[in-house]
Amino acid sequence: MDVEWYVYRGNNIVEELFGVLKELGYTVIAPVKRGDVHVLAVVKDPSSIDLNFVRTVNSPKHFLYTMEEPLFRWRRTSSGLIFEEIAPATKPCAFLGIKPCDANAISLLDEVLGTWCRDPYYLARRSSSFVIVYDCRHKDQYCFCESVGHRQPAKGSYDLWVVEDGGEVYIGIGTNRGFSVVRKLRVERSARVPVIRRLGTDRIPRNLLEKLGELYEADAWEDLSSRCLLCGGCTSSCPTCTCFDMRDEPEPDLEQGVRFRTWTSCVLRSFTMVAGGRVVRKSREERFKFRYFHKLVFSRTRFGRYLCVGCGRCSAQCPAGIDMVEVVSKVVGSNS
Amino acid sequence: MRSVVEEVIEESPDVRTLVLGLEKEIEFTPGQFVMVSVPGYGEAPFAIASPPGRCRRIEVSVRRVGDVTAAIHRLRRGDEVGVRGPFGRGFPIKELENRDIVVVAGGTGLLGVSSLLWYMHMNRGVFGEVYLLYGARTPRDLLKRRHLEEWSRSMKLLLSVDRVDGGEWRGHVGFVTDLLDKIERARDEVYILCGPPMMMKVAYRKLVGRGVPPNHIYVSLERHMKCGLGVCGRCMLSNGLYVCRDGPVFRCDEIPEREIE
Repeated sequence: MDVEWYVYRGNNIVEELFGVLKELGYTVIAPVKRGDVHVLAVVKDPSSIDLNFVRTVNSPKHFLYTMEEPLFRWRRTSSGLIFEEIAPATKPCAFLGIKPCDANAISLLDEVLGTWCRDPYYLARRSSSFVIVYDCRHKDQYCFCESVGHRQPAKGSYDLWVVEDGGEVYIGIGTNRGFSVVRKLRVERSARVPVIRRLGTDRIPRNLLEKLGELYEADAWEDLSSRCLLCGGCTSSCPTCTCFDMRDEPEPDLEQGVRFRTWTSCVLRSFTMVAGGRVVRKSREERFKFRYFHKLVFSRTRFGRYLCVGCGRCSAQCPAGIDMVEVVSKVVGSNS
Repeated sequence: MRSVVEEVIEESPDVRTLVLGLEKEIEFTPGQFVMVSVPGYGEAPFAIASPPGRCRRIEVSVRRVGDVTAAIHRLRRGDEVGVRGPFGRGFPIKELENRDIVVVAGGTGLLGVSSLLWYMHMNRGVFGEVYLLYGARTPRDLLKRRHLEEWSRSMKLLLSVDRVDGGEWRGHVGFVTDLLDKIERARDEVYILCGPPMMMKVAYRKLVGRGVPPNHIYVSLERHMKCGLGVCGRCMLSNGLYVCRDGPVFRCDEIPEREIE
């Protein structure tokens, strides 16, 4: 790998990075502890940043592709109907201390919202954002980053990549912008490349995952989906799910209003409802398995990549205790 | 873009055609669609039903079935709506040239193939024999009657209704798919299906049962859509293709049979 590495010679890399980012005018978003969980939140005081966590409840998606986005305002005037675009609010944001899997989720958003459909709202926020990955040293029973190849952040997903190894703190440079930040720190060029340790999150072998594509009609789906509450928690917690709905909010006079884009979920009944009330994917089973296929099969065909980084959020938050890896293993296992 | 309702045409008890004057010229191919927006109510996809090409005036026909379509039905001449598009991949004209074409349309499905029918009508020499098998609920529900008459000068028109509510009717009574029995199989003919789910399923199975290969059958699909750009996810088929961007027209060997509805 051709990453340029530096060794950090200061006392507190998080506080020092925080200081430089603030100097550059960034709003810093970092993991903080809230009750029993960690969340990504806007941080004013660097001492509140806590890197001792498995996963944050929310993900960078919540900031780059917001739950609700006003797109335009319409107005009926004497000279006719007027559409006024509402530009995205883009205060430059810096993510400080996100996991490699979440950085890779950003690179998947880049692919889908950036390259594939050039969403101006996403691109405006993304291009002004700064990403610092802190290497991951935590896992729980839901993590499976190593099964889907997301243990390390992909090139292009981060500006800086911080790795602790052998008592030293290393900083890898992802972009020129990243380099200009590192120059302001107490660092030395390092000839040594830090070791990225295995986490042991390879819960399902790649060759089994690849078999899923042929198993849309497998019998096992019916039983596996029977516990699903179709709540949509998996898709809203997912760092790469981007499906959306539209909502018009007229003012009481009906002469003007705003159209919003809001997140939705492919497991909801209304998701595939066409004019007249016909629902294309009627059954729980069809909607349940569709998510697996979009994330693990269709995206491979279209983009050559899984639309899943193995962060385990969908499984960790599922009120019915459904685990993605377990489901895939059972579907593949039932047909071998 | 902003567009003005220039004319409202009553097609049937629940279908109206809007003639829309567009702010800017668009260019579209047969089978493509636009998103029409009624501020305060929302946006929905509609096939462009007028002749393809470059134009500043298009026709869309709308059946009143929900909130957006009811709002569209309340529009009067001079009202304004938003239009985005054109979107999608229409009919592959090159693949259809020099072949016999059998179009099977049911109900508002006629609107999904109208721009293609115009194209074939205006480029008659490019195609072999063209048949239009079109079915509606009752004779009063037949859409585009003024155009059917014109199209029948360049193609064979066979009509069907589910039932006759009084009045004179010389066409078939039953399913539009029954009319397929009147078409003799050539070797290389192409079938184009657009209509309600049951019609599509029945027609597809009937054709395959008669030995027509799936790659000789095309469908234009209807799915829920919010963007038209392949990102809202609503129209994705169960093989990962987007109806808005990869379709709405598909050759049947490109999609799983369960999606032919």
